[in-house]
This record gives sequence, structure tokens and C-alpha cells, in this order.
Amino acid sequence: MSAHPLDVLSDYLDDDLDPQARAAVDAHLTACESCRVVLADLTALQGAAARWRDADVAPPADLWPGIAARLTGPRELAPAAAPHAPTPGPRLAWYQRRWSVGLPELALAATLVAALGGTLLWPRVTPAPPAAGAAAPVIAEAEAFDGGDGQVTPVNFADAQYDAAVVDLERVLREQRERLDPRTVVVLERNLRVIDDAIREAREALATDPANALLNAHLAGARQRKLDLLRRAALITEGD
Amino acid sequence: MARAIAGDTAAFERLYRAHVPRILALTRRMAGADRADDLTQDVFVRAWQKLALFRGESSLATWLHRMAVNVVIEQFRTLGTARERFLPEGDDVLTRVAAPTVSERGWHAAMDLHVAVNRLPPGARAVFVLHDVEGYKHEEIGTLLGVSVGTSKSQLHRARMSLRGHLTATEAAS
Ligand SMILES: [Zn+2]
Repeated sequence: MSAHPLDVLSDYLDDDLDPQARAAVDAHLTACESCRVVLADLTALQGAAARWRDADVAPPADLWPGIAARLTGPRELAPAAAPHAPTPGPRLAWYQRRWSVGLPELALAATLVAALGGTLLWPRVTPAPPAAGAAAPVIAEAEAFDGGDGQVTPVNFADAQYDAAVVDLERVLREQRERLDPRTVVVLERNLRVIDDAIREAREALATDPANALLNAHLAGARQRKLDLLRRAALITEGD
Repeated sequence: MARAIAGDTAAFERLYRAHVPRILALTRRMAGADRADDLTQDVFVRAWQKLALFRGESSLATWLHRMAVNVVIEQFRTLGTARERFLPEGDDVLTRVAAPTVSERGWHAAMDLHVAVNRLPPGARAVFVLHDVEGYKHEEIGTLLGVSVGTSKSQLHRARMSLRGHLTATEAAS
């Protein structure tokens, strides 16, 4: 009898052998009960492994509080253009991630913001495909918001973190201002004013009606857009 | 979902409740009960951070599952050297032919398997769990663990033979 083909029994089981090698194992198995036993064990193990997949585990009661306490840190924003964007390379702060945004997009954003600035609800706006192969960012992306089930949820993305990001970006823009086209600066400042007004209005309204879900969503959306706009502008100053 | 993305922790907690039994089971299989709770917390904190990146191309369950696998594997890399993470080549586990009585006992519950899997080094364990339990291909496993397809295959075989050895030893002792 040939040597026990133990080193290829997994391949045999997984049907990962060429026909010749498979035939050789078959021939050995008919003659060797020890190897048949090993193969039967491996087959049974495979079945046990497959059944293991269906096991669920009830979480200990303290698991969620431990998670909830950690939900205060930075969160990543949806990528503007790339359908899936793994982000290799050095890790930047989430608001410093590089996006492919050019002046046409910023100008378009300006138009949109100016046009919509007075309204309370912000629609999801996707600009037409840009000319020069630049990726199309989603500007003024409003959260899909469902105010219909009567549940009220206050804005709770961390104020401190948001404020820090805004301060940081505003500083970058101040320092890099001369690198921007003056027309871009005008547009940018107008946009920021519009958004700041929206934020201020929402805050004032919330002061008298803190449980208003629509206002909360509006505030969260406006802050998000401000951050987006600053981030895009800051990236333009990095130069393309 | 939209609410959880927008920052609503109550909405995120509902999402957590729906998915945690599966994720906890997965982290236990891959990393053992000792570390599973901490890793599961890490998974959901990361899910919270990255929820806006979920594109709906897979189900949320699949997305979370992938994330959990990554969290566990990143943690493996901190455990000892590569040599310590895998089963040694040339171990005598492959040369043992068991006595013909073994296959008759059958394989018990997941309990036994859990105990036996706990004795594998983490890399070999990951290969076994990912392939035989979670249904990953060797190519994917190789990419995840940073090893060749050949290594993944050979570690799977070693893990299986080793598990068989543990389980038959347990059987003999009882
Ligand atoms: Zn044999």
C-alpha cells in the first residue's frame, strides 16, 4: 500500500484535486480503512462547522452601555463620488479627506445654496456630470428624513467635535485665502452666510421648541453642509 | 438607518439589538469568549463611525459581518509573531492515523468544537472559521490575513487535522 495521503485529504474533501490525484486517493481509500476513518472525521467536522454558523449569542446586558459611551468620536462622511472608496494611505482626520472637487462644482454649489437658502427643507441635489472628468460630488445632501412616525430625536452629533472641525477649516481658509480665486471667495462667503443663517434660525427656533424633529433634522443637515463646504473649499486651496 | 447615520443613537441601538447576536457569535468563533465582548463593542463603534459609508450594495448584516471579520483580524496582528499565529508546517498532526473506532462517536455540539477551536493559534483559527464556518474562499482569506492561497489551504488542512486530534482526545478522555 502506498503512503497514507493524509496531506491531501482536505483538498480531496474540498474537491480541489486534479482528476489524476483524485483517482489515486480513491484507490488508496478503497484499500485503507485508517484513511477512510480520517476522511469520515473530516467530513463530520465540516458538518459541525457548518452547523456552528447558525448559532446566535445573546449579548450580556452591559455590552450596549459600553458601546453607547463610545459613540462620541469622529464619524466618517459619505464619500462624495466614488461608489466604494476604501481609504488606504495615511489616515487623515475625517474632515480632511481629499475629495475630487473643482471650481465648477463649488460654483454650482453656490448657485444651489443661493437658490435654496431661504427654504427650510433641503432636497438631495446631485449636480449634472461635470465637464472635465471631475467626479460629481453630492452637494447639499440632506438626510433622508422621516418625520412621520411621531418620534422625536434631538440633534446629537458631538458639538465639540463639529466646532473643532469648523474652527480648523476656517483657519486653513484664512491662511490660504490668497490662493483662491477671488470669485470663489465671494461665492464661498455667500454660501457660508446662507448656511450660518440657517443654522442660527434653526437654533433659535429650537430654543422655543426643542422637541421639534423637523428643526432638529434641519439643524443637523445645515451643520453637515457647512462642514462639507468648508472641507471642499479647504481642499481647493491645497491645489489640484 | 437614516436616523442612525444622522446621529440618532436610539436608532443605532435598535440596529445593534437586531444584529448583535450574530456578530457576537462570530467574534466568539473567531477570537474566543474572552475577547468576543470587547471586539463586538469595537465592531459597533466602528459601524457607528462608518455608517454613512454603507452603500446598500450588500445587506447591512453582510456589511457588519465583514466589518467584524476585519476588526478581529486587525486584533490578531497584535498577537505574537506570524510564526506564533499559525500552525507549524511539518507538525506531526498530519502523520497520525487514528484508530478505526473514532468516527463512530460522531461530533457533538458546537460546544466541543468551540473548546477545540480555542486551542488553535489565532491565524489557523481564523482560516478554519472563515473557510469552514463562514464560507470564505481561500483567495479572500489570503487577502484578509496577508498570506498566500497555498498557506491558507495548508493552514486549513492543519487546523482540521488538529481539531480532529483535539476532539478525538476529548472523546477518549471522557
Ligand atoms: Zn491510508
